[in-house]
Amino acid sequence: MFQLKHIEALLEKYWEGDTSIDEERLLKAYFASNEVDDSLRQFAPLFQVFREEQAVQFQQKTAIAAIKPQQYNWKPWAVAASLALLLTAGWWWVAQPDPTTDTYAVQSTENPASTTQEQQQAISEASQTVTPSAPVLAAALPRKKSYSRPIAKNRLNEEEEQAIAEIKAALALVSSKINKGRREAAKGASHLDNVDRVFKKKKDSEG
Amino acid sequence: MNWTIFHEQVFPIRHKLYRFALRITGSVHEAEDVVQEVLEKVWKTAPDQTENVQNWEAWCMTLTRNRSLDKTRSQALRRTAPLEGLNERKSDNISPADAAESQDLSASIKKMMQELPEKQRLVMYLRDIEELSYEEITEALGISLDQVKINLHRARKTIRERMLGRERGEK
Repeated sequence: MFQLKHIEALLEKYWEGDTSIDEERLLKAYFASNEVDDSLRQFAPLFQVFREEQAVQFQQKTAIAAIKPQQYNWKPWAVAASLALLLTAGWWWVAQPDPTTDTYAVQSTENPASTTQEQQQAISEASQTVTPSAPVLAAALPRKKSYSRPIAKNRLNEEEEQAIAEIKAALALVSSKINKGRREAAKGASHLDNVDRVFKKKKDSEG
Repeated sequence: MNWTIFHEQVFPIRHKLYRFALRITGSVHEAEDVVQEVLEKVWKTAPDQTENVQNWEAWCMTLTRNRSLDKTRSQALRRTAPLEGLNERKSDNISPADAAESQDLSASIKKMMQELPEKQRLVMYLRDIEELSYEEITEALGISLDQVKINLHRARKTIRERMLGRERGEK
């Protein structure tokens, strides 16, 4: 397999430092084989040393264990994304105009000084039975807003009627509750008068 | 540092770096420390500092050489001290007497190589054991191509003469 003359020539080139890496590998293979000629056997240990040293390996596992790919740190991004989501949701919620107040806003913009007849009537009915508190009045009276947006006419009417109906129902409920309270109070007062009369009679009879 | 580059081009040459460090420091522990430090340094190097690196092996060899020399100088280790931990491979199918003689020859040649001047020793080591090209040796050791060739030639010539002298002495 190996030609002695070729190996001898290669070996001479090797000592001179003129061999290529492939030629040096060929020499290593030759001296690792069982075909080494007696005339060259004295150099075999040198190439054996090369093989031995090539087999030396880095054994320190702990050193490598310390070097691992950095895991992607997703936590700050998750927190930032959550915060952004919350802020966006909050902004969206605040920015959404209340349909009811919008109705009045549009109305008040179109004719700021006027209220509908139904509203006037509802307020006057409420005024007859009870002096409305500030929140009730605030809810009943139209509110002005600094902005308006176009709403379709039919939708405006529907929402207007619905709002009036709700106001009426609310005022009627308040009125009925207050009247009932008055009746109960008057009833309780008459009971007290009766008790007073009973005690007075008893006192007179004992006296 | 890109993990793919590190995993495919740097990590596989850790044994080579270790042997190189072992050759310079002469100490297993020092060589292990050097390799660990070099690998960590390469891993932590910013990408903009490594974008011009063409040959990772030669670059790592340079780092290993520098770190090994730093350690050797700082701890005043004797570079000619016998190498620890080298695997002594015993050949099969040889008699105990032959094995002993072979080990003796190997130890003798290792000693010859260790006694070479530093540049000759490192150039011969990088060429004959690590099989680096002349250009890679140039980069790893920071010397010219001519110096690489001259030192290699002198190293091999010295080893040959000593081997022949040993042979003659025995006879």
